Formats: sequence, structure tokens, C-alpha cells
Amino acid sequence: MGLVLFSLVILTLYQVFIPTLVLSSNTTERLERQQDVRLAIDRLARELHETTLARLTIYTAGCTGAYEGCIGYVTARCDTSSSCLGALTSSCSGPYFQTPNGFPEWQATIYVWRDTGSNELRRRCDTTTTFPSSTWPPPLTSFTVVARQIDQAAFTLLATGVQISVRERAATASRSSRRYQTEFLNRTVFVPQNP
Amino acid sequence: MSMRMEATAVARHDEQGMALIVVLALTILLTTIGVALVGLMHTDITHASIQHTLAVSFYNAQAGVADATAQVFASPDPVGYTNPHGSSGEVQGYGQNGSYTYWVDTGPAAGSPCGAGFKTIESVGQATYLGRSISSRVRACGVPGAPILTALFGVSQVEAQGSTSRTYLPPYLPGTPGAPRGGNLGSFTEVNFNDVGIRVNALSETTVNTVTLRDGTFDDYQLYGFSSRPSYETNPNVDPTPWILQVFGDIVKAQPTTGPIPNDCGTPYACVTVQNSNQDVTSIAALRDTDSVRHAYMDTMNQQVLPALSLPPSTFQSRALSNFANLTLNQRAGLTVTASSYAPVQFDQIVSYMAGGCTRGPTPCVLQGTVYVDGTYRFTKTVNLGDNAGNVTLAVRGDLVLDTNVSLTVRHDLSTSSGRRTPGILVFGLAVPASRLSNICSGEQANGSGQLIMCGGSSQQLTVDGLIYTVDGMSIGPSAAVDQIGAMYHGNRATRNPSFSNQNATVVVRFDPLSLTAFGRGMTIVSWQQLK
Repeated sequence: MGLVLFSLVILTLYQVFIPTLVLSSNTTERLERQQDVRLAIDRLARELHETTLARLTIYTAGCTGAYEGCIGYVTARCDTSSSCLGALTSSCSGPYFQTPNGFPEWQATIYVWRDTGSNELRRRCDTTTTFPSSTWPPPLTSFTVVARQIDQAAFTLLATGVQISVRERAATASRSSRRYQTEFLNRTVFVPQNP
Repeated sequence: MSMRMEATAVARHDEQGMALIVVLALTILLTTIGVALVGLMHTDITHASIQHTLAVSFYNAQAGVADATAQVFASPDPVGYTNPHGSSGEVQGYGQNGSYTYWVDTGPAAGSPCGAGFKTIESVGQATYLGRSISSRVRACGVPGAPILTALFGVSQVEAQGSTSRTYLPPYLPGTPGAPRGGNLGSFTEVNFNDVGIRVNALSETTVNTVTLRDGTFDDYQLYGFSSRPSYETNPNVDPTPWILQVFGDIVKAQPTTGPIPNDCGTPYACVTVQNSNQDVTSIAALRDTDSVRHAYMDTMNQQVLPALSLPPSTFQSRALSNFANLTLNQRAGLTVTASSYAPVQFDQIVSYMAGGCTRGPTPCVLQGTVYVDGTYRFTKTVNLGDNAGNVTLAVRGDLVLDTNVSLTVRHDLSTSSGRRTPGILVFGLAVPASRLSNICSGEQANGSGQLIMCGGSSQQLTVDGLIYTVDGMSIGPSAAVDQIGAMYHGNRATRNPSFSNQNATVVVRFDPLSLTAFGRGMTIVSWQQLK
């Protein structure tokens, strides 16, 4: 009899904890997802700030099927200390190049897109050209993964900048969406600083 | 009966405390889980806050760049401005628990990281979270004293006439193609393409085209940094905005800070028109495709509010009056003047003597520094005023005319930033222009309002380094050629003269932003990078 009573008490206590657990898990997950999408955007922040609207292309035609949220823009960064153009590099995150006139000396073109099959946000640095391709897709054979579990990505050209929207879906599909927020959207506007 | 009661009592006694232990154990377990979850949340919140602080530090650094830029703008001498506290930097509290420190050509910005003659601004933004200071560092490069960046700008109409008009606006010292981009073309009133055959930045569209400049004959695409002829779609019906446009500058539809200037289109900003239409063309694609100006290549059209610029003639007259570097040349040419301010007749004596080879010396046979001609002057002989690495500025208080097939050279030592900043030709016009117009050549008329008129001819070449500035516009006659490293700014004195008119001539302006520092106002940022 005593055990039954105590079990009831414990169950009651546990029931008291459940909302707390739900709240805690939800908050943690929410923060993790927000951090994820924020980190993904942070990884692109510097190069988006350092590019120029004059050589930034957002692709709609061709950016379908396996691709979503496709953008190309130039960078003045290279992995090597000498000119990057045509060199075998992968990240284009090294030194920043300038012409003797103080203008940025573009080194490569960066492409970013969401792979709809893997839900990855991918980034490719193409050192063969400093002009974004006029059509999508350009050659995208090698790339780095900027973020995973991205279920939506979009770039929008504004008058003075580019808006990036990234949505991540939490890996908690079996849980009740009533209790858990499962989709996390981060939308940020970057203003390229170079003329 | 009593034995059964005893047994029950013993059993109850044995169970006493069991529940407490279970409750305690579960409480500890759940508390541990709760604390762990709170810990996780705390960690995540800390991470998010650090990222937020990092973002704050970045924007604080940007605020530092904006503050430094404002200080340069406010300075009476933007070119010479450095931050007052030198390498210590200018520290300013900003935002919540944040600050920025900036340097202008001092401290980490010393030594011209942006290039000689360019202004370097470096700024560190700081923000604090839980006692941790997080910083971001950015650098901006600017052209001091240049409030606008256009290779060719006209207060009134900028026009090209005739199907053989060719205009190239490449960058000076190009790196890779498009780095930097070509120069902008702008107006406060109107940019008019009078003929659909006009070529602007048309790079060897179907066959290789060459241009002959002071340093040789080049394939036109080489001026933009291409090592071989670029491949691009030249048919606007197929591709009205070929990729190559990204190499070129923009058409700037400008409006003065003082308010709109009326134009034929009725638009508050300058308009772009084709032939005799008064309809504003809104994009490069429309210009090339719908309006059939298929040989015009510029990147975009944009609207900007810009300050109207002017140079005071008195400044340059004073410089000429205190310039005695040409004393020997004056004497050998038979003049008694000691300084470098001349009446038109006196200047003609100098030009004739130089054109004759300076038979009585000096050597080299050049003018130096600021030379001021107090009235309209007409070149009738080909002459090189300052040799190929000189420092001469020709300022004219009237009109300046180049007779048919007469060439003029005004070059500077471009290996130095001061050489790149030195203005080339300044045409100020008379204080009070004549009431009657005189015929000059090729239908051009003038009254001393401040025009630069090239009469044209296949042998005519104007070779200039630095700024070409006119108060009332520049016209270039048929078959003439202009080879300039610098920029042009042409005003208007409420006359009907276009600010710039290319009439079947070839104009090459290799845009050097440093040439615009002659205006001595403000600063324009040309590059930006995030160092940390």
C-alpha cells in the first residue's frame, strides 16, 4: 500500500517535471538550431561583406531540382600569398588582394547553394574565373559543407544588399510538433562593402 | 490473532523509510537531469551571446570607419588628414559596453597599405560579454578629396554623336579584368546617345580593334586587363546583358545635393536618352536591346545624389603668380614676365618658341607647375607643354581651342601620387563672357564661357594626365583622339552647350581616381576588407 502511494507521489513529481523537461529540451534544441543556422550564415558573412554587388549573381533559372538558393559572388581572398587565379585552392579564405590603386583584386568566384538531396548548404570556390557564371549550374565538382539539415535556403537581391534566409529542421520528426518547434529560420541582410 | 498483529507490525516496520529513499533517489536523479539541462541551456545561451557580441563588435568597427570617414570629410585638407592622436588611435565608447578605435594613415594604417596617395582607415570595434572583450578589425581604402568617382561627368548633357564615335573608360593600372572596374559615366541632366552606332566600351566585338595611345598601340581589350580577346555575346537580342558588363563602370543618373536640375525627360535625376527621344532609358539591357544602342557596354544605371563641384580660378592664378620655375623659358622666349601667369599673347609667344624647339634653351624645353592664361587661347601649333613626366597644369581664364589637326600634350610623372593628383587642364572661362558668340570651327561657337574645343582632324591628339575641368563643357571634333589618364568633370554656365560632346572622335579616359583629389573635398571608399 505504501509503495503504491509513494509510486503515485513519484509519478506526480515526474509529471511536474515533464513540462520542465519539455521546455528545457525545446529551448536547448531551439538554441542549437539557431546556432547552427547562425554559424552557417557567419561562415558566409565576411565574404558577403567583402564582395561587390557588381559581381554578385542570384540564380533562378537552373536553380531547381537538386539545387536551391543559388548564388555566385567574387572574392578577393586566396589561399596562397600569390595570385589565386587558376591555382588549386579550396577555401579562398587566405590573404586579401588589392590592386596598386587600393581596389580589391578579385581572385575567385564563390558559389553557395543548398543541395536538396542531402539538405546541405554547400560552398564552392572557383579559382578559374572572377566572373560569376551567367547560368546555373557552373562546375561544382568540389565543395565544402557550410551547414547540414538545412531544409530551405534562399538569397534575395535588394537595392543595396543581399538577403540570406536559411531554415534548419530539427532532427526530432518523431516528436510532437505541437510541443516542439522543429523549424528554425534565420534571415539576415548583408551589404557588400566594396564598390 | 495477536500473533498476526505482531507480524503485520513487523512488516510495516520493515518498510519504513523505503519510500523516502526512492523519493530521494528520484529527486536527486531528476535534479541532476534538470541541472544538466539548465547547464546545456546556459552553454547555448553563452555561445549565442558570444556570437551576438562578435556581431556587435563588427558593427562597432564599422561605426569607427564611418566616424573616421566623417572626420576626413570635415577636414579642410582631406588629402593630408591623419587622426589627431596618431598611433594611439581615436578611442570612442559606443553602444552598450562597446567601443571603437580608428586610425587614419597612422598606427596600423601607416605605411600606405592601400597604396600611395590613398587614404587607409583601420578600425577596431570592441564589445564586452561576461568580462570578455571581443573585437573585430576592418580596413577601408579611400580616395581623399574626391567626393565622387566618375571618369567622365557633365553637369549638363553628356552626348556622343555619329556612328564612328568611340569612347573607352578603362581603369588606370588594371589588375585582372574588372579589378578595378572601368570608370563611371554620369550627368546631372542627361546622357544622350545620338546615334545607335555609337560605341562605348565596345571591346573588339567582332574583330580586334586597336587604339593608339601615348605608350603604343593596343588591342582595346588590353586596356581592361584582358590578355586575350574576351568571348561574349555581342547581340543584344540574344543577351542584352553579357557577362562582360561587369568589367565596366556604371552610368550615373545624378541629382545635385541642391535639388533636381530640369531636363527634357522631366525626371528628378538625369535621364538616359537615345537620338531625339525624351524618354528615359531605365537599364543597360533596354539601352542595348529595346533602344538598339547595341555597341554600348556599361554595367548598370543607378541614381545618386552628388555634390556639384567647382574649382576656384583664383587659387590657380595665385599658384601661377608664385610659380617662378618658368623664368628662364620666359626670358628665352623674349618675355619679361617672371611668374607663370600670362596674357594670351604672351602665352602664344611661349608656345611658338616651344613648338620651334626652344632653340635658345632651356633644356629640357618644358613648362613647369601651374601656368595661368588670362583669356581665351587657341593652340595653332602642336606642342608638348611639360614633357612626358612633367608637372604642368594649364589653367585658362577663357575658352581653350585646339585648331584642326593640332595636338597638345600635358603629361605628369605618374610614378608619384602627387603627379597623379596634379590637374591637367582647367578651363575657367571669362568672369563675364562676351555677349556675342564667335564661330570657332566645325560649327562650334564660343564666347569665353569656359569651353574646351577640339576642332578635330585625324592628326589631332589631346594627351593629358590628371583632371580635365571645364566650366562650360568640352567638345571633340571629328576624327580627333583623346588619350587621358585621369578624369573629366565638365560644368555648364546656363548655356545650351552640352557638358561633353564626342562627335565621331575616339576618346580613351583611363580612369585614375586620384586625379579627382584636385577638388579637395570629402572622400570616396574604394575597397573594404575585414581583417579579423
